[in-house]
Amino acid sequence: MSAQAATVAQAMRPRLPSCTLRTPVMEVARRMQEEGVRAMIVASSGSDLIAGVITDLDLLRAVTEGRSEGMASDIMTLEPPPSVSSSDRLGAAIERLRQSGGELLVVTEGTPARPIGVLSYADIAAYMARR
Amino acid sequence: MSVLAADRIPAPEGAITRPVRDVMRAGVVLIDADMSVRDVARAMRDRGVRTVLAIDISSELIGMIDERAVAGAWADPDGVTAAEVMDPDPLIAAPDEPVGAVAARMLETGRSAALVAHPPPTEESGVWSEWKERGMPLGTLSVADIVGRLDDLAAVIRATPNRSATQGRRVAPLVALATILLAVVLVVAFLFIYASGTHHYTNRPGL
Repeated sequence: MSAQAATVAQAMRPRLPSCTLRTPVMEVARRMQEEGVRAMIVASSGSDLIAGVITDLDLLRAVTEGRSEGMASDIMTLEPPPSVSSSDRLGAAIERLRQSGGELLVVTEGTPARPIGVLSYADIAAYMARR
Repeated sequence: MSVLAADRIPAPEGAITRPVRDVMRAGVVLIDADMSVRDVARAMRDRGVRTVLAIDISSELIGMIDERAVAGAWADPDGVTAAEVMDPDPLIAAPDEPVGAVAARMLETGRSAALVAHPPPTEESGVWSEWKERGMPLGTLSVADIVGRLDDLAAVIRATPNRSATQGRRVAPLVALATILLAVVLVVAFLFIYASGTHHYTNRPGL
């Protein structure tokens, strides 16, 4: 089965690599390393609300500018990544990700849409290796 | 030289003054440029890397491939080759260059990884052909390598009290106290000498 017929659910990472607004920058770096993704979702603690995103380059910028003692809210981009449904076509989602210029998409499920995972370039490459 | 530089790290940010060779991921994974993108994805998975280098039929390095490039060929991973998706002009870092200089180029260009290779002897000589003559690149340097390393260093620095960032602020009162103590000691010593001297002289006639 080709990626054209596959759905997002088949390639997605079934969890949110996330931190809260108050997570220290260095802890964000540690979790990003652990997860093997190039972006972390910044969520409000105790809710599904996504406040923004931090990419690896955001972390690098913070560190080179001497702001590594701050919190996630100091360095994040205040716009949540685009989201797709887990039942969407994988190919369309990949095109969406490429056009967004970001590192990952938030994958949602149900009504109202609840975030259940992400689709990053690492997940797509891993999916392509599996097929 | 690099060892001395490491000993002088004042704060997590200080790590970006370290040479690239101390922070890079040593070693590279090479793949044939005519390999399918599917096989490139498998090589990345099997070798646990996020970046591979493509070589041509004469073993010359011709490009770099990351996960984003792999994903670009999602529609036909078996029909598209590594050469078609590779970056033929990646960032290249010299092993002795400070990490901060490479970080600046990464931020400028929006790239998350650089190759680490000895620089060509002259500006004119093509970097790629130089690689062949000077041997393979030494490794890769990714944002994750830099940021992950900073985390380790920050933990070490936090665990060492005499390297804490507040040290500078604590030194000032200590210096002031030492100065006052020294002044008091000097005054007392002076008075003692003066007094004993006076005593000596006033006693002299009595001898």
